[in-house]
Amino acid sequence: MNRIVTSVDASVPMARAGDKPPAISRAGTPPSRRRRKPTDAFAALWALLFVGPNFVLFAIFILLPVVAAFALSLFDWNMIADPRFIGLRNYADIAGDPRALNSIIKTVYLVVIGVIPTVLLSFGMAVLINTRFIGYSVIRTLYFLPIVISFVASAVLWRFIYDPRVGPINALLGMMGINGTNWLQSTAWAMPAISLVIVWLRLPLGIILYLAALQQINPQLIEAAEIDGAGPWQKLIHVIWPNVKPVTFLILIINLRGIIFDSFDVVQVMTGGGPLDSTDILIKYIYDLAFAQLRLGYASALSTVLFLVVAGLALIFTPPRTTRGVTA
Amino acid sequence: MSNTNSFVPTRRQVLAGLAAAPIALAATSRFSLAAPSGTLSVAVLDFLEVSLKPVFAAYEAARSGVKVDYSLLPSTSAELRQTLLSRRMANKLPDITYLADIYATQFAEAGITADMRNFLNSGGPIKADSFAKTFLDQYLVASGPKKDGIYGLPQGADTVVLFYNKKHFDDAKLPYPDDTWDFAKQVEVATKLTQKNGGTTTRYGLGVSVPWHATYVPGITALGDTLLDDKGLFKLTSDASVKLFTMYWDQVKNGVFASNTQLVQIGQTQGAFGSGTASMIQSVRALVPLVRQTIKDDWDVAMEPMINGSRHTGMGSIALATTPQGEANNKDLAYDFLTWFYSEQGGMKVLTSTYAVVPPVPALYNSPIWTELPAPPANVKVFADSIQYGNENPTTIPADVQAVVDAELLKAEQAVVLNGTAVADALKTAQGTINDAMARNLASNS
Repeated sequence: MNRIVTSVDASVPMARAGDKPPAISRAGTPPSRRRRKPTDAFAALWALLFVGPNFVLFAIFILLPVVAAFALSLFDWNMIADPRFIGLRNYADIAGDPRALNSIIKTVYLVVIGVIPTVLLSFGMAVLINTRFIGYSVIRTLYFLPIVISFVASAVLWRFIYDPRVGPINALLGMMGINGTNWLQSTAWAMPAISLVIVWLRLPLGIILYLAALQQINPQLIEAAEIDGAGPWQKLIHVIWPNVKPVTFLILIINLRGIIFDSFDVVQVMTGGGPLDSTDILIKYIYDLAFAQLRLGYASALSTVLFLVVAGLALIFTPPRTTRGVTA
Repeated sequence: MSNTNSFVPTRRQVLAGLAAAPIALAATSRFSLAAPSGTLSVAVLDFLEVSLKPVFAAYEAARSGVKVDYSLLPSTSAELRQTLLSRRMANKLPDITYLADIYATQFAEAGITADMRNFLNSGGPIKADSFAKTFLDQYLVASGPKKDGIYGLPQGADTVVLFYNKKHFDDAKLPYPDDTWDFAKQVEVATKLTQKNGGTTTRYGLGVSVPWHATYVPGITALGDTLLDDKGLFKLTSDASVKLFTMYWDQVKNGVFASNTQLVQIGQTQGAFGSGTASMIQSVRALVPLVRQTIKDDWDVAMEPMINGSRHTGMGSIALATTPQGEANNKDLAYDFLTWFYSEQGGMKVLTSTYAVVPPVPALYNSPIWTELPAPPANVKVFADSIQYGNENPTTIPADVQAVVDAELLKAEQAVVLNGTAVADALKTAQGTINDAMARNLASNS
């Protein structure tokens, strides 16, 4: 199977995000011969017109808060007294804060047991529902259902599902003679229980992206593999998986960011960070610091560290490209 | 003889002044003869909306030309403070805001609430001595730049009482709780009322939030000690404190008392009692409207049991206060509303009819406006009688530190119940973190 065709040696390489589209007009002639080539200034004006509004919003809602958060991290401020400049002391305090260290560990744990299953299950389910069968549209709709339910509503629903007295999980286990545990009140089970909810919530987006990627695969590649004698498993591993690799990185980074930042609602509603800080992820701790203890400077320092870590991971998984598509 | 510039008005100026005087009086003075009019903005804690809507409607009916524009405040500690601090920074505070007792000092220092002595000393019928002293004192700032100011007027006089499900008692052929009950008796009865399926409790004898100050503060007092030491720091590892928490957490471990985390799972104390998952709960009058809506069985209330032969009961209140913006821009209307609110035929009458409050005004303790409401609860006298045993959370604890106290005592409970940690060790850990927060708060404020 060494000669199985992959996207690397395929005759039509897949376009990558950021690549320039081929400059060929519908008539097959370069556009410069058919219309006047715009000046650089004119092109820049158009670029500004299209990018400008987005950039303004991005600057107001993303850039400025990031800069403000960093500035705030250099102060001791409780929203009541005047802010007091303390330099980098908030950052130094992180190392000596056992709850911060615990939160970092719990966040890494949640990422590991949240991101990997999300990616693998999304891929597996997308492959399964990419085939047409009777009622496939109904099944697809059901898979996408979690995406339209709010995180808080989902968390309330799952809290009932996990309930040791009336929840269906323990009722089902009871029918099999198994005495189910109190999932959300167990230091061992609370985080996996939360992870299951988060994976369930994040699956639809992964499935949608994988479905789109699967439908972009050139059928000739599959046929060529079949001609070479590849079975379903070999086609999956050697043809389909390599062709969806860019999307895998995209899903990876979306879920990484999502699980780190967006899991707050689920954790807050289901466990409140407990029991015994076993689900006290960093974003929950930051919230407590900022709004329960009003330690906005220290909370901002932790947020800045979190931002840098996530930005670093994003750069590793999706490095910026030059105009030639070569990683910088 | 010195030459001074004397003002001699012309006839036209005199006439113009006379014409403008009534307009100026009506527009600027609270001593205006005209009835108050305009829009009064009030920020209301979300769980009070149902009981306060009829109050606002009644006020609008009593004052034609007045409109009450209310907005909702989240009732959770973090979100409430976040909302009001943000509104203060944006200069968007309402004329009157609601708050809870533990925020009195912080909101005063943050400029969210105004000193209510302005209202109490303004010559109206409502004065400081109109209120039950213990409840008004919760809003008396004890130290700092706002020292001696009163930054809230209690809406009700809430002390903790024992709610019990009469049907559960009848089914178990147990006599109802009475004034002679002590903690041991409560445990004995709660154990008989508890139902289990295998290792899982399906009905708790008592639902009680042990890490709630209204539970542990009176308990420690009853055992002859205090929560704070002479320096104002927590002493959770004292004999009395360890004994008190052990008394409660032993029963949580036995599955007889529902712990705080278990109560969250079964819908908080009111949800647990309403659904019949807890036969008794320890809570306050403010819960009565919710309980009446949810519970199907007959129920009533009784005095909190004694501990160590003495009776102390947790207390707390929510309050109203004008804001600095309200004082500056809409003082007349705000004061008129407050005066009407605390009158027997005004807000108090409407509010008590929803079962939500015990009037914080001693003159109304025996008023039929709330004592003659149809049962349940039948034994409404308990709510007023227990006020004399009220034991408040120390007002010197800053709100930021109280958030740490709540979180750390919850963790201590989980360590004891889930991990089998010794109570003294769990409390020692909690005490360390709490006193660190206390020291940090002091340093930050200094």
